[in-house]
Amino acid sequence: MESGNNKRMIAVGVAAVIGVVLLVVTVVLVYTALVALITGIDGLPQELTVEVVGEEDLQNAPAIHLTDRDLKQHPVLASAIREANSNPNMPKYASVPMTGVECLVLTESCGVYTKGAPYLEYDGVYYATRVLLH
Amino acid sequence: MEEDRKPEPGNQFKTVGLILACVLAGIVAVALGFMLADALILYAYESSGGQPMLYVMERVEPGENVVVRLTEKDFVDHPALDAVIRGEERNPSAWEWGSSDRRFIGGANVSYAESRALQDAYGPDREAWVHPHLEYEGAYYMVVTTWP
Repeated sequence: MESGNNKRMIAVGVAAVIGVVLLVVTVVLVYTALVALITGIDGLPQELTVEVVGEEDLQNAPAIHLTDRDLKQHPVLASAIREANSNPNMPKYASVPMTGVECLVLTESCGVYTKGAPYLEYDGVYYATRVLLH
Repeated sequence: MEEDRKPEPGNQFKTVGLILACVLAGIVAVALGFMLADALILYAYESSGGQPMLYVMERVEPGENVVVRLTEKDFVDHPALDAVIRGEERNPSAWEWGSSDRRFIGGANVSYAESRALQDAYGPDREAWVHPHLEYEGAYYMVVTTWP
């Protein structure tokens, strides 16, 4: 009788441990899946396009002079400028994806998403910018 | 015969104890699951090679938004915020008060954990979507973070 009780207790204990492990795994999977879904949502997908322009094309339009620190603080802009310069095609241009927050910040710092966006100058090269919404 | 069918008081206690233990184990398991998932997500992002950023923008007036006064404790708790608002990462843009009454003040590289901590502390309220404005020495700041 005692031995039967012990067996039952062991079975209940094993079932409880398996239940707890399953519950932990389920919570981990559901939570990570939800977070992965939610973090992917950041408004409409956007692209920043930069195109190298000649100095003669500026026609007294406003230009913002970028420093190394500016590019360090705006990795998206740095990546777009880097890609445009390595583009063998003419005119040199590049499009890089960006989030809504990055678009907002670039608009407030360089006016990229404004009417008559200023040209950007870095290292003697001038760039026209455009924001594409998908 | 009737008395034989009555459960023993000891067994009743055992059953109640077992149910309570199961409930407790369930609660602990769920909490553990959340903690583990959170740690896994952070680890995965930190190893992804992405670079989250902290950005601070200044506004002329806070408008109807909630104003939070920044203290030294905020700067101690969030060194990146300190560096952007009053340190070496302060880099106001040439595009002064560009398209509205906001202007970019500066940005700094942060870890994913720090990005989340800043978002939780100073980001918009998720229900009312009100963006708190941080007041420091008479100026109003908004904090945004990226999570690439």
